[in-house]
Amino acid sequence: MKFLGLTPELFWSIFGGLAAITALLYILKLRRRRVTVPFSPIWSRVVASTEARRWWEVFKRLLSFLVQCAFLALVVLAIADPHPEERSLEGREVVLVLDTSASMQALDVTGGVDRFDVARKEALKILEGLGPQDAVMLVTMDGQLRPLTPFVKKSAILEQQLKEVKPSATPANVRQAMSFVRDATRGKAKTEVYLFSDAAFPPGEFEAARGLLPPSADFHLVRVGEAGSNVAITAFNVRRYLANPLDYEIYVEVRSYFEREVQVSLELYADGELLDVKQGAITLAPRGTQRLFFPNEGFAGQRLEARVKLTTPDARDVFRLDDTAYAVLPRAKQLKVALVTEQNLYLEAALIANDGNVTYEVVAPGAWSAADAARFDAVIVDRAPLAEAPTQGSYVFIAPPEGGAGWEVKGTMERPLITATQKGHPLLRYIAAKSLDIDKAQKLAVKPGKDQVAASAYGEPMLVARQDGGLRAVAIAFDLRQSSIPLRVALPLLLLNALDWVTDAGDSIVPTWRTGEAWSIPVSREVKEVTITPPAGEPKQVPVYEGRAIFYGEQVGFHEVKTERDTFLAASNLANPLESDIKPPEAAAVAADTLDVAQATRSFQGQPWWIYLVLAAIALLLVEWVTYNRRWTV
Amino acid sequence: MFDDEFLKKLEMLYIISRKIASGQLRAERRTKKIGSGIEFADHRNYSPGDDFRNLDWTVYARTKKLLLKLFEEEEDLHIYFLVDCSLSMTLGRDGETKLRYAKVIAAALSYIGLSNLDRVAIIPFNAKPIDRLPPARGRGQIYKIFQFLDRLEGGGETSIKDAFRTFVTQNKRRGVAVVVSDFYDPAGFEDGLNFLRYQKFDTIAIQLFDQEELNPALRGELQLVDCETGEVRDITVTAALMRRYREAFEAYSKELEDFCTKRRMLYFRAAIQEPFDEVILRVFRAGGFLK
Repeated sequence: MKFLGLTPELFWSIFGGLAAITALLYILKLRRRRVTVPFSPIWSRVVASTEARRWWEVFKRLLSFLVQCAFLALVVLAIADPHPEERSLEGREVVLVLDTSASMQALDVTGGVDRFDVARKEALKILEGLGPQDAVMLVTMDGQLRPLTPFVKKSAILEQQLKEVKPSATPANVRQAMSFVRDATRGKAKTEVYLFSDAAFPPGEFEAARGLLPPSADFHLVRVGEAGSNVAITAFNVRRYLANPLDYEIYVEVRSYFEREVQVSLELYADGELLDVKQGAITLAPRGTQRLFFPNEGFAGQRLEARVKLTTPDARDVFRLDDTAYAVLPRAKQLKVALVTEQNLYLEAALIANDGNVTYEVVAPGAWSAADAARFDAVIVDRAPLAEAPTQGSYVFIAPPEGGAGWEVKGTMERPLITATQKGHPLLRYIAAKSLDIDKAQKLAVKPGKDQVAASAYGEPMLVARQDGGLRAVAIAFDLRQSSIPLRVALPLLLLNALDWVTDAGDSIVPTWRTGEAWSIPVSREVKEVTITPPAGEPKQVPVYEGRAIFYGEQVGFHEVKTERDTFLAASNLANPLESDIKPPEAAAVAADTLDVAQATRSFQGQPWWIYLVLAAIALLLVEWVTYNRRWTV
Repeated sequence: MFDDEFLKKLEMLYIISRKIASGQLRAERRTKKIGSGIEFADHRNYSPGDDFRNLDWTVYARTKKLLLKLFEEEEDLHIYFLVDCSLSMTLGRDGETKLRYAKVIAAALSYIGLSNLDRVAIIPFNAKPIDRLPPARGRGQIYKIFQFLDRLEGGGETSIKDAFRTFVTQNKRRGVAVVVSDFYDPAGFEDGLNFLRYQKFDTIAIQLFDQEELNPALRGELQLVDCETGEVRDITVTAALMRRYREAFEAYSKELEDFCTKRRMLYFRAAIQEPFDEVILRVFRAGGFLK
């Protein structure tokens, strides 16, 4: 046995001193209360019979003293903190890996708030049971791995850290965690690894991660969670209609992880106000998915939320994090366009048709100067030569003349027929270009690596998009008036597509981000740093690289992105069908690694001895109290 | 202490006493003294020197034996109330003491005695008779008795033996001796009561006690001080000790009762919490007080 709290000398000193004080108190004569009685001889008779047992009285008093000494000994011994000799010599390297992934927020547990709460309590039990020679490392595992401490022997230090850990909204990366544990424990003689998790990993992931650990490592899975009953929104997006910026189309993917059919309702909120309820309209097959489109939804606001709710009466959704999805509505902005042309009523008519989105100003080619471009979001140059080639800005060239500086032209061609289009190119959105009749077109020069040809006629580019440094430009090879396009609805669409592309305003869809990934948020190239404020937490300074702010998202909800020029929102969702599948593996599947903490802490560690000593002291005190009050020991 | 309410109770007790002693006439209570009365009492053999006039010649004519006629001598009954006024009689709460109760008992019985035209005397005592109210006769004397009892104060140690020895010395005329006391005498009560018995007093012992004495609220480490002797004793009072104390108290009372019963003395035990008239009635029913 080894004393960790007191040295033997100090132990005997304290105990001896206290015992001496107790003995002194016993020796001191008791001050008795004086009571006058009418006839003491009757008392004398009684006391005489008592005095006949004097030796017993003396023994009882001695017994009381001995009980007091035993009490003191137990208390001092508890302070001395005795431990078995062999235990105090054997130290282990213990790694506690705490799963802080999103699925740990599931509520299908007893004895705690959620899975993570239960896991934390189990981890605390293990921590409390560790010996003074054991070194412990605390690691959290979600989308990222975070070693919270190195190996430390004062496990009490870890308790506070353990209490401060919170689960994130990211999926778990168990392979990464086990790889880290393998590296961290390399060369350690006696390693024990405890993984506190629901083990709701993608199929085969746990086994693969388990295999990363060396055979000498003693691995234990402390499994939490019971059910997999969950419905989730696994995708959510909204986009603005080009022709009608006030209306939106919503896309929602709802997935069920129930083993039976369930009904759900879907609620839509804009800026916190309820917009619409798709009540009871959605029936999900067992472990089924529904992809829903809601066209022509008109609403105002910027923050859009979709909330899915179970309406099947006896079903319970135990995982709430994925029940709400977030999206940011694309901002409708009105472009200010300079139309550099002699005169083109078709063009003006097409721009007028987009009156809500575009305002324009007609400028004669002779009156145009490059400096004027700064006043406009985009410039449409219709058949007009420019004095100097623009190097930045947004330009649409229509039938650029040969010899002009705007777009290099290599000649003309008669009656070209568009033979190839690049499917899905933003310039051709909603347009069937191949059916156009064109009388005459310019032969556009193309800069390899910078230009994208959206449409061509026997290899000659007819519609080209250029990204060259700060310049975004579109070239239309033919004069609009010398084609059939003015008679078609394609003209205003083509113009809008071109303007959207050059102004980079084609973001009729604002991307929603997924947690557990590094987001690459586009910002202006001139911005060097942005501040991102997550839904819960402090603002973070995020560096910008080549017009992209790189940020690791851990929370679902709306993040405020603040640049020097602008402030906008970024929405993030779990949107991870694998992480939403919260059902833990069958107990039998992981039985070999599963640890019963209660059993383990009993058999492996047991309670520290000092607790039993204190309990014994309390019991002794109780006995002394009872015997004193019943006058057995006085 | 002796207010109108008390007097009403006394009157009621007197009426009850009359019913119990029905048929007896006023002034017809006799002593056992054989003397020169006119009422024949008994015969005895003639002894030389006896008065010839009292020889029963009728008997001699029939049996040829000389027998002398004896006559009862009529005289008033003397009742002596020996009231214990020692310090132990003065302990109690809220003025409810054994001494007060003793005064009440003595007053009540005195009233009955006076109403029966007996001669009533009060002798308070502790280690010796403290004072003396000479024998008084007639109901009108009751206020004198009240005044005397009212004036009595407690104090001093108890010595029944010394007190009763002095009493019998001073009072040669026999009668009824009613001893109202707690009989807390370290030297014992036996000698004192024997003095009364030897001098042919009809003795009635009324032992008073306080329920507080029987069940004292004592616990823990105590120093007991005897109120009369000042004797000090350290004691640890436990539940078991209290049980033994009660047994000892009862045993002491039993000793007194056995002593009196064996010697044909009437014995009564009364807690001062008991209404005094019930005690008086118990005395009546025992028949010792009403001849």
